[in-house]
Amino acid sequence: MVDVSRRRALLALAGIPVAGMALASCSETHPAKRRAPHHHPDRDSVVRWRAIQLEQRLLARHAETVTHHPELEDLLGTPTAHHRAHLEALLDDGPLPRLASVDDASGVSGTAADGRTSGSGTDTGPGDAGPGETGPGETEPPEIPANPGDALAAIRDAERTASDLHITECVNATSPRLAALLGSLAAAEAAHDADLDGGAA
Amino acid sequence: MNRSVRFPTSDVSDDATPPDDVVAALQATLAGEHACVYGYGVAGAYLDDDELAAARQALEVHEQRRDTLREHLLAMDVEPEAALPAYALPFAVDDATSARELAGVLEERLGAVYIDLIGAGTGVDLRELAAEAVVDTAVRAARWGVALSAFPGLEGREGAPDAAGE
Repeated sequence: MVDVSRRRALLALAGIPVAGMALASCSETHPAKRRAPHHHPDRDSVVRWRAIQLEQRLLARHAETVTHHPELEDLLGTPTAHHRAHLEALLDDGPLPRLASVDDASGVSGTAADGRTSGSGTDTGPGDAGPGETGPGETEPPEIPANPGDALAAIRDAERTASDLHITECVNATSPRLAALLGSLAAAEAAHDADLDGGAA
Repeated sequence: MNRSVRFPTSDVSDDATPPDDVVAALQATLAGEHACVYGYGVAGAYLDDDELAAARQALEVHEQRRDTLREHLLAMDVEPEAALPAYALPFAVDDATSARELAGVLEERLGAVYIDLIGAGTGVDLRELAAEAVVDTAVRAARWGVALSAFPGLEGREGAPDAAGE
């Protein structure tokens, strides 16, 4: 069972903007200065946007981990592929609006929410970011432990955290389709942790 | 347990969901838990040591969820589905290998049923229960040796995401 209070605490953390690979390239503007002041995104857009951020962060951690520890590439191959598929599924529901204010507690504001790379060829509408600028949420790449075992432990911890957050967002989603998708993503990430643990039943 | 159910597509809020849909999803989930409890009883007979302990622990969790689902139905003034005397197994179970496989299949299929419960537009409590159950079934399935899935509970569903990244 997932501890609810822990999940809520984690959700607050999830609101901290972290530039994933794709997010960094699409939020190349300073939207806090350009957004419509009274725009209020719908609840599911916020939920989906957070999930996109989460998957981007996981992908960034996986990529950085493999860069530092190439011997882990095979082990992480399937989970990494899953995160790419998760990101695609979340993006496939269409472009998201620019999020003027995700919510008061998240600390995320005014960031282009689509998460697509600039080369995706998709018209993101009013959420399109201008080139050559960086968003306010960009942060440093994840720190990767020097020891491969510790790096793997950090991956497992990130998978568990993502699973907990997806459960929370599953409950927050108003669309049953989005809720079901998020429940499935939560399950996939928890299973990654179990698989990387290598433990028997 | 029925895996041919369509991927949930309607965009209805909790308030707009017809209660019959929720009741049907709850009953289907309860039926799935009944089958799972039965299946673990079979699998456990062929498992030893740590695997037997894992099967017993899983059985306990499924019995608890079964009882919780029954309580939800009773609270809605609905008679819960009763367990059948026996369930058809998907394949013959006569050794530890097939017992492990059965346990994995049980968890995998039950996860799909819980995904349907999420998609039925249930209230917060039930959705949280269902989401945690989907996670739990995926973890147990992985530990019983089921290959990792990009979209547990949704694989093969109509309109389900493509796991082409694998």
